[in-house]
Amino acid sequence: MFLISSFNFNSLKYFLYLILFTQSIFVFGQNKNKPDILFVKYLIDNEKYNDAFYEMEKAEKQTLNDTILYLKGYCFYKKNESDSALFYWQMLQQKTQLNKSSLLLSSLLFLNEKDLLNARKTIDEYSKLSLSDNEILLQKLFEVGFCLAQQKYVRADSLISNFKYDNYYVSDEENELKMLCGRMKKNKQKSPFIAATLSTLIPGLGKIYAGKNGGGFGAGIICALLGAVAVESAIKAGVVSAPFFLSAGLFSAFYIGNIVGSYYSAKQKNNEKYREDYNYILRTLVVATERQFGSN
Amino acid sequence: MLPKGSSAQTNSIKFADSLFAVHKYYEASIEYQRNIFYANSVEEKAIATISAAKSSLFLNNFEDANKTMKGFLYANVSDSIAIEARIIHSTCAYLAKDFEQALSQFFQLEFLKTDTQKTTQNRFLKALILNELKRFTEAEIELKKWINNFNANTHFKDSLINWISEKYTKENLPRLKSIRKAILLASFLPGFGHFYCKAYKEGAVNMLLMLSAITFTGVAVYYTYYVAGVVVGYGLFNRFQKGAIHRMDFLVDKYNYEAIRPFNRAVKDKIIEIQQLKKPM
Repeated sequence: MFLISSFNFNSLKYFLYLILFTQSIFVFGQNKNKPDILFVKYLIDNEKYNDAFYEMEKAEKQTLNDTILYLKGYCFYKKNESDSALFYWQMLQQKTQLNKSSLLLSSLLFLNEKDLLNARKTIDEYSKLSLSDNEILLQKLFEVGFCLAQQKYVRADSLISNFKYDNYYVSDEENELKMLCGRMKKNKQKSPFIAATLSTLIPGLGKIYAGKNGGGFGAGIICALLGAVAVESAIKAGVVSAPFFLSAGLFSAFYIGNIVGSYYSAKQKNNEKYREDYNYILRTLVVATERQFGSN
Repeated sequence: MLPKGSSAQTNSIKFADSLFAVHKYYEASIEYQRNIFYANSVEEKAIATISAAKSSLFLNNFEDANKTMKGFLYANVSDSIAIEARIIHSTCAYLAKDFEQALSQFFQLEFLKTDTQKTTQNRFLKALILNELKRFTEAEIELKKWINNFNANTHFKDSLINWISEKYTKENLPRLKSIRKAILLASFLPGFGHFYCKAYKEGAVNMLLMLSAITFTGVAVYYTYYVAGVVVGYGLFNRFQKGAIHRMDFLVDKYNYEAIRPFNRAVKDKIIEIQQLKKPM
């Protein structure tokens, strides 16, 4: 009896050791292979994207899950490396929350690269998923952003008329896009041809029309002075003389240069305005998207 | 994930230290950052921050080290840790060429006054920072204070103090150019601002252009082409003069930077030499 009980006790002891050993393998193995997501997010929040990526890379491939893929893509998104971000986000499973977030962020990356077509396609893909109320509001915000970026004000107006401004997540951005739309409609494009014509009539006037007052006045004064030099040369040395040819040539070069300059000034002014408005749209959409999604 | 306050947390610090010990600084820096994130107390966080900055220093990533130290929280940490943090921060800022920040950290270190020995031991760092800020008189005083604190024989200390006194004499100090003087010269004497900054070729070209413009004005006025003389001649002269004045900022900065480099290098080398000599003492 004693022998039997002793035998049972020993086998039980060994059995317990075996359980402890297998459990410890499991626990340690898990710690080694799984990246610490909370810590990764902390690194991302502190703009240490390379360190966050390194932390995730330490994990074995079998442990690759949607969160890691999303966060890897997010590191590249933050570094503005769209190709790498899209590479990881394309591997995400469809119809998940992370997939939705990645689609919105991908659209922002395309917008940043001025690729409106792909940005819109991505949002279309996003709209096909089952979306919550907040997510639908975000989608509408993107649609208004696209219309404004393409300067389609009528469509933008009709979409803006559906804004309710009663949801914390997007109300500020709805207001901002509404104000931007009003501002963009008021901004009249400067015609490069009008600018060139005005500069032909009065040197410098084209640049003033294009909004470059200082440059316009400067060009006008220089043209007038060079003209005065040419007139003086004509009076003193005659029309067929080297001083006149030289001064008249200089004046002509400056005069024609000013006309061409006015043409491009108007074009540049239009581009500057558009770039400014475009960046405003992008910034508004980034803020709204990151408020809802971001690294979380 | 490491539970806060657990033994795993302590193990992680030990793990980071072990990585640091075998010169795996990048891995160590990540582990230290993990410790910062999971720290249970302000002290733990402070120690991990200092170690993370040290790892970045060893990786020659000075900007990152400086940035890490900027996030150091001084509230509720012991004086000894605060002193070490100030010294490390000052070093990181100095190496990241953020000299004002480096000096500010050193001033705050002196303000603590609780560990004057550690402050005095690191006075050479303050001298190096002051040298970079072109405050040579103060740097000389700091170096002498540093040497006077050595636990060495008088002969050794005297020889070092003599070296410093000689190095910081007016003749041996880098002769810096004054921006005001350069602008005055460029305004009134064509090309002389450039010559003052030892940009001889550029000065010669500038002088030639300005003299040509003024000659043109003279000739035009002589032949009664008053408008041409004033508009073309004086207009060009004015442009060249303004260009030269505008350029003085860059040329003076470039000259001064190049002038202080060998001086600061020599002082730095001497400090390293002294540190090596000090070791067996």
